[in-house]
This record gives sequence, structure tokens and C-alpha cells, in this order.
Amino acid sequence: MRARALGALLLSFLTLCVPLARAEPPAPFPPDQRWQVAADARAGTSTGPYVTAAFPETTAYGATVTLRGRLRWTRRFSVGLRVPLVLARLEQPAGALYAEAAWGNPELYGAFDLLRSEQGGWTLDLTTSLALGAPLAEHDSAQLAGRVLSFADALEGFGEPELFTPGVLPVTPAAHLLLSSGSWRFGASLKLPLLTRVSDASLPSDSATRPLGFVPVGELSARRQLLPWLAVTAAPRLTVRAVSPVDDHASPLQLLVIGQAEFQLGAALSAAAVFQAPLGGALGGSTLAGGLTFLATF
Amino acid sequence: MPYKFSLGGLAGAMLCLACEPRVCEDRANASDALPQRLSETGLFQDLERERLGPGVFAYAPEFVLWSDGTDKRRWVFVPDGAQIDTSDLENWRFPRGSKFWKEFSRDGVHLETRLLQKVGNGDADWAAAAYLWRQDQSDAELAPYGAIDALGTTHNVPASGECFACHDGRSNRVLGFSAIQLAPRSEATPERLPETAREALFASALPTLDVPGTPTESAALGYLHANCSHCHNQSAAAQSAEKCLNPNQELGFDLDFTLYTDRLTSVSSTATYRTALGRVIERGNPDASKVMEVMASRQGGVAQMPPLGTERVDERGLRTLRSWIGAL
Repeated sequence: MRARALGALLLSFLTLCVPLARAEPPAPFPPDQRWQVAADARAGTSTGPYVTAAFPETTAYGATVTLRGRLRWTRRFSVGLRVPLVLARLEQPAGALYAEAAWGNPELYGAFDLLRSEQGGWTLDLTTSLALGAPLAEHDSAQLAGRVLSFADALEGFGEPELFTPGVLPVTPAAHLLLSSGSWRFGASLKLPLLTRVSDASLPSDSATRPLGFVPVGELSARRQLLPWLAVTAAPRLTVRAVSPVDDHASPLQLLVIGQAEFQLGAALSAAAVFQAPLGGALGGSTLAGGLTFLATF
Repeated sequence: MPYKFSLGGLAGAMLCLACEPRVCEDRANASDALPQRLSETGLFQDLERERLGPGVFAYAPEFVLWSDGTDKRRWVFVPDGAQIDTSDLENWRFPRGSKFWKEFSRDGVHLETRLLQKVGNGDADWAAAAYLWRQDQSDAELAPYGAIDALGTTHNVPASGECFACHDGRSNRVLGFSAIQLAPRSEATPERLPETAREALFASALPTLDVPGTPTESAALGYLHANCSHCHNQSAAAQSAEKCLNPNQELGFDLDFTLYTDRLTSVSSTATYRTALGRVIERGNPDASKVMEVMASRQGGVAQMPPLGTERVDERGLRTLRSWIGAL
């Protein structure tokens, strides 16, 4: 398992050229900029819980690819879109692999810059957002798409349930705080995804789903600009499956640690290499991911 | 699945970074022709009392595939009036409607029963799936996508597509029911197939076939045949078959495909001696033999052998091979 995880991590760094998925809005969006587009990719391996009796767990390796765009509508209001896709190789019970792909739930959000304050060399930005997901991610009777999405959810440490939970209508209010001074930037995010079940028709009758899921996700981050072209970020993210949308017997708490090296490639373009690993919980020791982000702001 | 991405090939292409040889096609539709319950397959006419259905015969191959220590039973059925064409000793031909069942149990609890059913006239026209037994053991349900940790054990039930990972290695798709496994030996051995079954199933009597060598040698050769040769064989059919496993075809561990050419007159005529010695088997040195290393591994993937269907090392099988290699 360890060797496979390391192999997948190495592969992700060496071979992925497609950019990745973060809680939106993840990066500062200066008021004088109109567009922000990004592509995120996470590649890794995971063994995580699944919801049916025949498949109490899912083992896979692969990648999530999320395209996102954000448009400043007014000086303080912007709208954004995230479209997630998952490509995975699902390990079958005897050990063979099936290559499968599945869409996650596309998400449309509005973000409002609530506060900007400058004091004593520090700048404080507070943004709130509300996202509505399209319930397009579905279970299928073969439990292939469902397991692919479960794999993607695990790669994110359960921290993107609104994107990767099938059969639900996600509504996600969130708040994002950024505190900047000189070469330092500290962030805090809290999002409260509410997942209303709209379909579980393809799940076997022994699967326990809940009509409503509530999975708060909190993230802290510290970013240091080391060089004009290089910044590093460390961020722990805690997911609390207060009301899990499915009864998969997983621990309700999942910590994910994220490390990121960000490279300024030009005035409007940056790229980041990301490493993330769940600690403890249902995924610690069995899930590992790395990836790239390309972000353009103009 | 209205929003399931239909371009599975795209997924395969994008993720073919390491040319992972274990990638299979999802062939769950291979089980479309099969009934939903084991009780409807014809195996038993009275499932509770295990009274076999008409034309169903139990058999037991001499050399068995290691299945993590599960207890296995096997049965065969050929439609009334039809018979198995054994004229090609190396590749029997089975009539349409033929069925093979293999049941897996642990501690007296039935876990799964696999069914391989001939659904056409071509050699490759087989449907395959496993039936997962109910907790109350009253019947078993078709499980085209298999199951993990069946009935609370560590036993996994394969998906339909995985069946062909091994069965595609033979042009007739049948493993364990062949001349070398069932033919009478020169010396008295346990009956592998009742005489009534042989008369009913075969158009002509099977010749006497012996696996060459000392008991240690024949046990090792038989072990490799049963556990390795469904992938590692050098028959033309195996090389051309579309398999999810794509092993090194330069190696061969089979006994079947040398029946005509060499008549298995000596150990040196076997595929194992001709292709594996000096490559993955080092004479007198089991510790330096690759075959021992991969057999003793359960790291997953192709670092272990067999790569599919096992999570536990076969210690007894290892001892068999160690004795043989050490004495070479």
C-alpha cells in the first residue's frame, strides 16, 4: 500500500499537466481584476469507505480535474463556477482494475466581498459566498460511478462533499477570511455544505442514506512569500461529518493537511504544486494525493 | 446513470501512465444471459438438500488453484445429447449450453458460487459471473460486480470482467477441466470424474496421461500448471486473446499444451523446464528464484503472483516449489 501510494504521488508530480480543486473562492481576487480562471488536478490513491454491503470500501487511484472560473460582476460581487471530473482506476474485488470516469456536481456560486480593512500594515479581507450545486453526480446500479466519486471525495479528505456526493442537491454557504502583511498571508475558511438527497434509486436496499447531509469544513492556512516568484502554504483542513449523507460507518472527523508551493509564472499566471494527505480518521494512512493548479487572474 | 461519463477510454488513456497490466474491461454484460439466482441455474434441483440437477456431475481436478484456503467444489453440465469434443487433447471443445460451477466456502459457510456458461458456438462465447450467497444460505444472488469481504469473511467475490482475466488465457476459456487434470494415470489415483460422468460427457475415452518426474517434480509442475499457466502459457490462443492481464508470454508453466508435441515423456519436455529454468527458477536456489519471491508476496498488483484473487500466501505451495527447486 505504501509503495503504491508513493508511486502514485510520484506519478502525479511527474506526469500530470492538468491543473486542481479547492474550496472556492480560494485565492485573493483583487477588486481591479475581472476574471479568474483556474484548473486544478489532484492525483493519488485511496482506500476509503463506501456505502453498500457488497462494497464497504473503495480502493482506487486516479485524478480529479476541476475547472473553475470567476467573474467580477460588481466591485464587491463576483460569480463563479466549478466543474469537477474524476478519472479513476477502480480496484475490483479480485484485484483487477476498471478505468472509469464520472462527473461530480457542477457548482455555481456568488461571492460577496463583505469587508476590507487595512490597519497597522495588515490587510483584512472577509468574503462570503453561497454556492448551489447541480445534482448531476449519480450512483449507478453497477456502483462504478458511485465508487469513482467516493474515491474523489476521499482524495479531498471528505472536504469537497458538495462536489463529489452523488444523488444530492448541494447548497453551500461559506465565509473566507484573509489576513495579509508583507510576505505573510493567513487564511481561514468555513463552509457549511447542506446536501439534500434527491436520488438514491441506484443504491441497493441495504445502503443507508440520509435525506439531508450536513458536512462543515474548516480550513486554516499560512502562506509565506519566500521569493518574488515562490510562495509556500501550509493548511490543515478539518471536515466534520456532522450528518453524513450516507451511513458508511466512517469516523465523523477527518483532518487533511495540505502543502503547496506556488510559482508566479507571469503577471497574471501562477502555478502551484500541491501535496495533501489525510491524517487519522477513515482515510489516514490509506489516502495520498498530489497535484497541480494553474491560476490566471486578469 | 444519466451523467456517467461515457468515454471510459478517455479515462483509460489519461491514466495509462504506467501501462498497468491489471486494467480490465467492464464485462458485466457477460452475465446478462445468466439467471438472477443460483437456484435457477440448474445446478441443484433441490438446493436445500443439494440434490444435483439432471446432467450435472461433480468433478475434482488433480491440481487446484490456490484460493486463500477456501473449500471448493466443482460441477459440470453438458446439454442432453451433446458431448465434449476431446479429439484435441490440448483444447477441448464444449457444446453450447455447457456449464461449470465452482463453489467457495469457508468454515462450512457457502460464500459464492461461480458460473461459466457457454452461450454460443465459438470458443470465446462464454458468460461468467459469481453468485453471492445470502446470509441465511437459502440461495445465492447474481453479483456481476462482485463483492468485498463476502458474508463478513475476508473472501472477495470477483466481478464478471475479472473472470476473463484468467479464463481468456485459454482459447476454450475453461480452466481446471482438461485432459491433464482429469485423465486416468498409470498408477491408481483418486477418481477425478465418475465413470458415469465420463461416459456421458466425453465422445471418446480419455487416454492415460502421466505428469512426468518424481512425486516432488510432478507436484511442482502441477502446482505451476494450476496456478500460473492460465496466464503464462505459450499457446497461440493465449497470445492472441484479449486479456486484462498481459503477462510475459515468453514464460510457460502449462502441461496441457505439450501433450501432443512431447507427450510429457520427461520433465525436460515440459514448458516449465524449457522456458522458466534459468530465468525465474534458479536450479538449486529457491531463494534466488523470482518465482518464489512473487509467490511469497501479497503486496498487490503484479508484485505478487497470482496478481488476482488472492490475499494470502500459499505456504504449502511455497514448500512444494522450494523442495523442487532446491533439488534441481
